[in-house]
Formats: sequence, structure tokens, C-alpha cells
Amino acid sequence: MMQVALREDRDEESLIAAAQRGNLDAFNELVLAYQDQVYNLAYRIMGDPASASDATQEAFISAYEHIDGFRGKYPSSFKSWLMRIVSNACYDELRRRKRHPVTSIEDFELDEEANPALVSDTEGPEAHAERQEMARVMQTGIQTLPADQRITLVLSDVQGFSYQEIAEMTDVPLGTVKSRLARARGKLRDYLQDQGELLPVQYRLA
Amino acid sequence: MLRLRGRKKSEQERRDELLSAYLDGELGEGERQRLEARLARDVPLRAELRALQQTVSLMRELPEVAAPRNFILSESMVEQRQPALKPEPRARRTWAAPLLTAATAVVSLLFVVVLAGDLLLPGIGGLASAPEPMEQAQEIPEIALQAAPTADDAEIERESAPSGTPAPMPAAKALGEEPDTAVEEAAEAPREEPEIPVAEEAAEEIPADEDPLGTGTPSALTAAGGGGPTEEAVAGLAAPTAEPMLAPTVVSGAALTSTIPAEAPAVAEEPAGEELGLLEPTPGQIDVTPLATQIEERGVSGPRRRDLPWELLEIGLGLTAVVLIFTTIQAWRVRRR
Repeated sequence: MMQVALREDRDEESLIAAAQRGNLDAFNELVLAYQDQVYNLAYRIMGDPASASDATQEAFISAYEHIDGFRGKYPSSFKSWLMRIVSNACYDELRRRKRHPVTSIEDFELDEEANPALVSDTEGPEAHAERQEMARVMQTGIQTLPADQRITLVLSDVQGFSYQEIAEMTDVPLGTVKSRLARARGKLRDYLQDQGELLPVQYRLA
Repeated sequence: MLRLRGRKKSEQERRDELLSAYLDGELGEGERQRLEARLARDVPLRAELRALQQTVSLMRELPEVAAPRNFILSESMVEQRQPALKPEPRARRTWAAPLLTAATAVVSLLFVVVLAGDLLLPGIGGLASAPEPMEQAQEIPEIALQAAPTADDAEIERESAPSGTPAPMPAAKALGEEPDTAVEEAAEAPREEPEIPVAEEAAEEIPADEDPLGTGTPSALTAAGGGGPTEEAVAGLAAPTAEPMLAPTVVSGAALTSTIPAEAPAVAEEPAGEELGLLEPTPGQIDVTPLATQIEERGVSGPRRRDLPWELLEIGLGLTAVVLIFTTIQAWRVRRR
């Protein structure tokens, strides 16, 4: 994980408490700890670095301003509370774009440099290139999905949240989460099958 | 490679939901076993499952993208933080709005009942009949009504007296076809006059069944002996000490001692202006003749003493109802937010 480790003398709880008392520095430590995850979520939903950065910034500002509202309500944690804020920010932006479409090639092209982060450096250059390519195709496929399905898919399969957590974060019933997730996966599967020729050989779906 | 587009989309969606839940271990035991049995014999379904599974795996294996920069916040970026205002009030006060609505309904109902009793039962409020002149009667409620709903508690109490008064006052004066005399008398100490009957009839008939504040108007008007109808009406309204009509001096004296009618003199001057305006259109409409008879029938002095608690009740209920209405509206507005 590319997470900056929290200093031992200040665990998450005490940082949150300090932030709730108005300590911006304490909050910023939380920012450092979570910004990669938050950005990653935003990026996977929005599809381009600029939008992802905007959403991330907005989410952290909103989180600080509403930090008093976090009382451990969510069973999971501060993390799910934070992810909820950023996914809502992304959702609002996607809705806004739908109402006022911006014809920009950003919507269709992916910045290659945005896909650099590797979990492991043990991959050779070929493998790395293949993963890059695969990621690019995947991201394009994700962006064919409508906002609700997209967010549900990313929260589940990228961030690893459970159905229940996603239901709470997106304010919908469990059944809705299940059906959105299923449809998103199904559509993405269909898309990848359609793109069969473009996929590197080992990724081709049977 | 199997293409599964041939089947109906809704069927495929249903299958996808089943397979997706299966992949996440979200199927019940019975459902899971049935699906696995089906998978064992349904090749295309197995292919679908495999394809779905690979999609999910690819999603899970997507590389994590690192933040391109630091997103730490500076002081200038964040507004002054207000301690948890928004979420709490809503949670805390969900009971307030319905409760207030119920209270408002109860109080309003009581008020209407009391008011109806006042109007319909001759022994209590004294306004059993209200033939003419209806126009004046309507004017009073309108003016008083305009005054009533616009204030909060304190203001309502203060205004109810004066606002109720100018209305009946000009009307009373308009009815009494002696506008000038009436004006002068209003400014001066009230006296017993032959105008009493005139004002009385007016007083009786004006409020009719439209009694805005319920309480003060009828008794105020009835108490308004002819001479200084203004002050007496004010006195009657403000401190509903139901004075007999025949003792206007006493009335005004008593009135002046109570707090609210302290504004009576000031009010008395207002109606002067108003009633002048009202005088033009109205004078010809009053039937002055049956006055004496009506007065006698009404049995002047007796009922008024019994009016006091009733009138107090009316005023109290009326004010409470109005206050509750506003508070309820506020509560619902806050709630919706």
C-alpha cells in the first residue's frame, strides 16, 4: 500500500478527535494517510487525473468541515466515511457533466501517465506494459458505465467494500447494491469480450 | 468464444445477478446449491460465470494509482468550522414538528369552540344577532386580522388591543352618524350621551360572526358607551373587564389603570384619522331605529361581568394558537432542511 504510515504516537482516533477540536495539522496527517486511496477511488470513477484531483481536494475539504459529523457512525471506519464523501463528490460531478456535457477528448482518452503506479517493482518491462494496457482498456470500459453502477463497481471491486458498507455509503437498499453491481460487472464483461482483439493474449476471456 | 447476447437481456441480467452474488458469497445456502447443480449441467452458464469471474479479478488487480501531489489543507482553504450544526438538529428534533402540529391543532380547535360559544350563546358573549351593517363588520375583522398574524408573542398582545380597537372604533363612529362629535369625544373623557344607543347598536352589529381576535371585539364594542367609544372599546378589548355600558366613566377609569390600555390614548388618536376616512362611504348604511329595543333586549349590564373569564380564555387561546402556528411552520421548515 502506498499509504503513509501514521506516526505511532498519534493513532487515528486521537487524530480525529484533535481534528474535531479544530486542529488542522492533525487532520492533515489523516490526509497524508488516506490521500492515495482517496485519489485512486476518484480516479477510477472519473477516469482522468484532473477530475480525480478536483474530487480529492473537494472531498478532503468537505471532510474537514464536517469532521464533527463523524462519530464512528459507520460500522467500518473513518475510511468508509471518507470514501463516502469522495464518491458522493464524484457522483455529483458526473451528474453535473451529464446535464452539461463537455465535449472533451479527456472523456475518451486516458492519460498514460496516470496509470503508472505499480504495486510491485518486480515486474519486467513487458509485464508492466501489458498491465498498463490492460488497465487502460479496463478504465475505458468502466467509463461506459452509468454513474451509479460505476461507483458501486469501484467501491466493491477496487476498494473492497462489502454490500452492506456500500449500501450505507450510497444510501440505497442492499438489493439495489446487488443489482447495480451485477449489471456493472455484466456490462464490463460484455465490453471486454467485445474488445477481445485488443486485449493482450493472456487476458483474453474464454 | 461464447457470445451470450442472443438471449433476452432481462434474462441475462437475472443470471448475472445470480452469478455475481454467487461470486461474492452472497447467496443463501439453498440458492447456492441449486446454482451449483445447474452449473454442473449448463455449459453456457459456466462460461458466463467464468467470464464474470475474470472481469471481477481484473478489476481487483487494477493497479492503484498514486496521488500526483499532496492534498493537505491550508488554513485559507477551509472556512470557519461550525461545530456539527447540520446533522444534529435534525436528529434531535424529529419529534418537534409533529408534536407542535398536534398542539396547534388542539389549541386552534379549542379556540374555535370557545369562539363559537361566545358568538352563539347569548348569555355568555352576548352576540347572538348580527343583522346589519355587514360591511362594517367585515372591515373590522379584516383590519384586525391584518394586525394579528404578523407579530410574535409580545407584539400580538400589544397589538391585539389597539389593532382590534381602531377597527371597531372607526366603524362605530361611522355608524354613529355624528362623526365630529365622536372624534372629539374620543379624545376627551368619555361621557354618557344619547349617542350611546347608536354606538351600541353599531357595537352589537359590527362584529357579527367575524370576530378576528374573538375576545375583545364584542365586549369592547358593547362596552363602548357612545360617548368615548374609542377609549372604552380599547378598554374593553385590552383589559376585558366587562364594564356595563351605562358606566363609561368607570370603564375608562378602570381601563386606564390596566397596562395595555395605557396605549388607549394613543390609539384613540389613530381611529380619528381612520374613521374620517371611513366615514365617507359608510354613514348612510346604518339603521339607527331599532336601537333602543335591541339594547333592552340585550340586558345590558348583567352578562358582561360573566364575560371576563370567557374573554380571557378567548384571547389566550387565540394568541396561543397563532404563536403555535408560527412555531409549527418553523419546525417543519427546519425539518425539511
